[in-house]
Amino acid sequence: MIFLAGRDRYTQRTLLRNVHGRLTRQAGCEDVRYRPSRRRPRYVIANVDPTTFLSGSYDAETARLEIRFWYPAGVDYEYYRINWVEPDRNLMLGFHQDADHPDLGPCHIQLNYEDTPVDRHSATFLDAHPLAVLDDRLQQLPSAVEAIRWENGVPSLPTWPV
Amino acid sequence: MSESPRNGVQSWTESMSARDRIRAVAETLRDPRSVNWISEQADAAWSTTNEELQALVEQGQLRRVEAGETTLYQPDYTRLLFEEIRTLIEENTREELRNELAAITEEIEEWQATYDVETWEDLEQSLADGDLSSGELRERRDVIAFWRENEEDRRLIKHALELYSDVEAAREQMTDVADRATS
Repeated sequence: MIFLAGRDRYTQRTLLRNVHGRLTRQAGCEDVRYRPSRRRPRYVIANVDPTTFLSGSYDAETARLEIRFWYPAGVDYEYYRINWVEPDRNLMLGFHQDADHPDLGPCHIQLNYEDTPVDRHSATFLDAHPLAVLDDRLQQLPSAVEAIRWENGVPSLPTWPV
Repeated sequence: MSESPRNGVQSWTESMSARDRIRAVAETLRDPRSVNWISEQADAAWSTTNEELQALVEQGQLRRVEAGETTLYQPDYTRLLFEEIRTLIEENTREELRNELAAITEEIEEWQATYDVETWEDLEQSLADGDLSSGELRERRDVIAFWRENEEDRRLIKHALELYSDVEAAREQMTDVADRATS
């Protein structure tokens, strides 16, 4: 990998525009936007209608997708977080490929409840283009969300991988 | 898990044409890649991928790289850079671009104050500090990535502002020609 200063950022910006386009075409995704701004994209965010996205009734009325891809210095693959967020229940389920939990390998799935991680498992490293990765992860997300189990008011992900 | 998992997520092969997928993959490559690799990632036939890549080379979007016996493709990064600048100019007023520069500066100043450092490289050095909790490490790594992105965006936005008048004048000239042709 040849690192050229700045070049990765405009590749990343182009990638995020493709992610934006992908979510805009996805049924159940609305108000697709960039954070902090379209001029300075870091995350692509979409409001999600869970019933449409999961293709069936669901306990939460609203959810949000938060997607970030970035290229860290000195690592020859992209990092990403593809998060399913339920603001009303303060719950987050996400695929994370970053430097946070090397014990679980390069990629893991993480469940947060009330801003605290409650469950975490390693996830397969997909040696693929970010857009192919995004497609796979979005396909897996409904099964992962379905796999959340609640016991005594606390969620966990006991059956991952589903 | 239910026997037939519910899933309303459309695959990108359903929502985008093969040519659009090939184009999306090719324009965001970080490393030169072969027709085989690109066709696999875009889930498209080899022949369609080959045709589309040739078309993109002819349009100046992609560059061909000969690596021994293999032909690889990569985006024309210079073009990508200018397209980013063009998009910034076309989608934003000067004031919006200046406000974004101010927001970037403000964010960087906040990080400098919070972590008592001057640059993201200083913050990176602090990662070696054994006293940091895993949460603090994660937060700092995120800030380093955002900081680098901010610096690169600042450079792009500054370029856009420098070229703004010239691009605007060129666009006005084109509109004048179109008006004369139709009047």
